[in-house]
Amino acid sequence: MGKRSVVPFGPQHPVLPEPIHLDLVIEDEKIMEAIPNIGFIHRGLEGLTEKRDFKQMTYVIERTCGICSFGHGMGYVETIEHIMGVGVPDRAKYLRTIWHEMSRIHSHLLWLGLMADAFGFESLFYQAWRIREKILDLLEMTTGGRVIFSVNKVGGVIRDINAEQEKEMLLGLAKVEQEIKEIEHTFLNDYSVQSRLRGVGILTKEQAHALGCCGPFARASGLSYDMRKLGHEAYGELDFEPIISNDGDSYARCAVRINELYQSIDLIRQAFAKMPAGDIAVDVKGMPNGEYFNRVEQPRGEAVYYVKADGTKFLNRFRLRTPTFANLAGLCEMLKGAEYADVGILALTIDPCISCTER
Amino acid sequence: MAIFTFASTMLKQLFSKPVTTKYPAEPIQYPEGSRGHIDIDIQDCIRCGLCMMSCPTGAIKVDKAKNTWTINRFDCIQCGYCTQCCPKKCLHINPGYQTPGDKKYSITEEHILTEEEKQKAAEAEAKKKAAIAAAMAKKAAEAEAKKSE
Amino acid sequence: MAEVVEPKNVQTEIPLEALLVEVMKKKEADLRFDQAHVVYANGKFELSYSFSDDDAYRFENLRVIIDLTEEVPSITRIYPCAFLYENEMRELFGVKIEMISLDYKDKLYRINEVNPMLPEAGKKLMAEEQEKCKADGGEQ
Repeated sequence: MGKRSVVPFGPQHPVLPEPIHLDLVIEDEKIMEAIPNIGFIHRGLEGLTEKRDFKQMTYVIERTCGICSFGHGMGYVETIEHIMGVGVPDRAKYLRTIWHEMSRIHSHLLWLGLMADAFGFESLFYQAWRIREKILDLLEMTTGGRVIFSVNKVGGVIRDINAEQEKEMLLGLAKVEQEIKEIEHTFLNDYSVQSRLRGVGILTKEQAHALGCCGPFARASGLSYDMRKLGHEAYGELDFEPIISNDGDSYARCAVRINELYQSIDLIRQAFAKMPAGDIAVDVKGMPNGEYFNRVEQPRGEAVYYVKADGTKFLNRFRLRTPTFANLAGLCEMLKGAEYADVGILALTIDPCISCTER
Repeated sequence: MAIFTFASTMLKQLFSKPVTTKYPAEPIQYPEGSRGHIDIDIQDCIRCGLCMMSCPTGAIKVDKAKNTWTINRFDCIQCGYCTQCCPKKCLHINPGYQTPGDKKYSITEEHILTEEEKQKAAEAEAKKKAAIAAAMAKKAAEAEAKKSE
Repeated sequence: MAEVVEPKNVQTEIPLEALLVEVMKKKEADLRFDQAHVVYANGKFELSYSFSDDDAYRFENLRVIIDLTEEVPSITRIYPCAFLYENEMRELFGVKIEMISLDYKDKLYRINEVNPMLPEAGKKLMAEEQEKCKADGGEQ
């Protein structure tokens, strides 16, 4: 047995885009135990319910995260709509689905870029983000914002996609699909990439289940766990299957996310084909009274929204369980037995969003 | 496993135009409806203060006495909730982001009263005064009546 | 393929003593631990422990209503991944959770203020109850 020592990792680290601190107990170069430490950017967004009314909270909650901002806004307004018994028009549901899938593509491309950067393939990182730029342009054209969209409101959405924009979006997506195919070859088949990812950080299906992991991280371990299957918004009417892989290593996580890109593009095409004409919002009167748990599949995994309202315009409690909060336990389990040099990559494979986690 | 998988992408990029633009020499083209900053048609404004109450960050101030509308653009988060709440629809969200500065400052717009509005305001003021006077007189009369009893 | 059998929320209210037993039952039923949170309402803490199913997307919620100073046993022995949730509950609201496997000692979020999410009324009530507990303990 070698000598054990504790090495601090983060919150500032060249590889990590997010401020997480890990205390690593290492023996020689092997990690024996990892203890996560967060709390560098706690903002207290949940506590803001005391000062902002439930409609203003839509814009506050959207700003929980810069990447899954659309999903957070959508999850929150869905919860409020369910409590108030508001029926959202069909067109609004389809529009939300389209934008949610667009933000999934943008999140996964961002992750792929960061991943390429982490294993030292800088020009691949440029390519992934170049493709993402096109998605951001399409989002800005349809919603008005590049990363924070503010198009959700209680009762529907505030903007519509017209025929011209639809055409442009479909054309843009076809081009993006073509470009993803090009870099997919490098991500999945390249010798140097494979040597960094294959068999690194294995998390078995049983472990993923026991530790409550979610999102692409859990699906790469073979859990078919996708909240879109709950059929909220227009997902019930679209045809798709959760993408899973049984390997459970970093390579599988990469492959799952790349395949989800194609899935999202396919879902957007289906949604455009089926989208009915009509209103995009209904008027909402009165105050919410009641409680509800809502689960939404964010790009990073399952997010749980809980609202307890007591009939006033200020909510009694808003709770948001973000995907990374659930995946941190999985990360620590996965780090056990890994090489010290792989910690940066492994921390990235769960797609951490610490500012979401601390809210 | 394969090697040189990136070569074709790299060669393609080598012989194609750069994807980046020469900003600021080449100005940005914002798409229509891009949310950059809030503008107001101040002459349509009725100073109701709904935008002030709806703003999640408290960036907008409305002064009814001075007829002014003030926005701190550094606090504004461009959510556009005020434009939804405005009863006269005189708030608009337009392209073009706030430029950075070394300190936060506010911009104030003053609503200049037209002759008609001035007249209306004067009438309302006169009405109010008359109502107060009438109420005072009534009170005095009641007091008088009580005394005489 | 996973069929969505019951996407509805199932909620059961249980007394505090039954918490560990009920959580154990969920573990035996092979449910995953989804989340835990606490709500301060009407001078009580409402604790929620949520569990879900991998295949059927079932969502089951255990609700425990306790006084502000009551001690709650940690469920990290049964579900090790619950440690973050329990630390969060204790730091933000001051729920007295005992024996968490990985204890951050109220410094998970590194906030200077004590129990920032507990409203003023709740803090007052908690102090009163603590006084009462102390007085009772002294007599015995």
